[in-house]
Amino acid sequence: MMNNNLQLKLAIKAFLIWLALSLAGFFWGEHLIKVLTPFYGEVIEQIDSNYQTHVFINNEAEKKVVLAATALRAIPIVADKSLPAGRTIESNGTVLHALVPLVILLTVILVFPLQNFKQRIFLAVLTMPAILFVSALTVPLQLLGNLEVGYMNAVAKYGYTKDAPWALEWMLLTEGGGRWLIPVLTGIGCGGVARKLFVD
Amino acid sequence: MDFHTLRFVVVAAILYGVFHWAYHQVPDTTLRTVIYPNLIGHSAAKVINTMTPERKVRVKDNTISSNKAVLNIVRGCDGSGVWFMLMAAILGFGAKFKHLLVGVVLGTIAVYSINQVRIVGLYYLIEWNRNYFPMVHTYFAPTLIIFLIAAFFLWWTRWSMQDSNQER
Repeated sequence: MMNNNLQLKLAIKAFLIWLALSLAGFFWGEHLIKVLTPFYGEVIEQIDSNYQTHVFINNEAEKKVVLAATALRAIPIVADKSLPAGRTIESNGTVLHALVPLVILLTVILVFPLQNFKQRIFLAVLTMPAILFVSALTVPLQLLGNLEVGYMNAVAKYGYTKDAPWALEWMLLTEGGGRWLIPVLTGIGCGGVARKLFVD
Repeated sequence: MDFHTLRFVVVAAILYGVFHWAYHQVPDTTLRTVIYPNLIGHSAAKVINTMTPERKVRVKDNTISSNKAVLNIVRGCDGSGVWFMLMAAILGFGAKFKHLLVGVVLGTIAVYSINQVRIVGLYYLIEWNRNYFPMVHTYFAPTLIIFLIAAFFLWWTRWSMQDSNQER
């Protein structure tokens, strides 16, 4: 049973790790997101084969992850209007926004209480797939969801209504707090697997 | 992963989805004109006006404003996401009913208090320098709140387990 002293130590450790990761993310996180941009593009193309994507970070003062999606075929908007093939549309989200799930995931992984060195090593090995898993479920779908918001607005402008596509529903779920829950549960899941596989 | 951890992850994820769905059944107008001013706006304005009476902060629907700053409370900025997370975790943990009740009540108070501090803090931040608002609002505040709520959850689970062991 964990006593109060250990609990306090764990809380202080968690706070310091959160602080260190947050500051590191704030100052250098752009480099990590830059490395992940081709992955974001790949995920988007796997989800929606209507586009060829280019994901990059802009050069403005507020750094943003930008999705430039080029339609590979005409995409219907309403009955007699469509986005022509070859037309590029854009959506974006800030780099800091993209970093939030990763800061949470890494905090959980680094704080997760383990019993031996083997468990720690295994959890470290799981970190990279966990980063990719969490990234795939958050940023690409946010960018795709923002594109869908554009379509929904266009449909409304022409006086029609359209059911929200799943990418938009998912974006709403993650933006409402799901992008915090996903890394927390992923981190706990990874820690649980490490503990189960390498028992003392 | 042991069964208890797996069950916790699955139940918490499902409950979060259910809470999210229910929340999105509430119309924007109800949130903007009824829930946000009465539950968040007026108490935040009271805190600001007590600490700094010269601000003369007003509340209209989901907007907290003074001559120096305007802050809009929109869907998602009400602490709901964090509350859903915490409630999903508490309910998914599988504690006894008495412990569950304590977790739900204290957890709700904790999330509400933290969010009110965030709202008041963001108001003063906008007033001081609105350039810092995006950074604090989208990056530092959410992760700090998750950390605080995780600390609460850790305390609650330990208390629940210790209390259960003592009763045996």
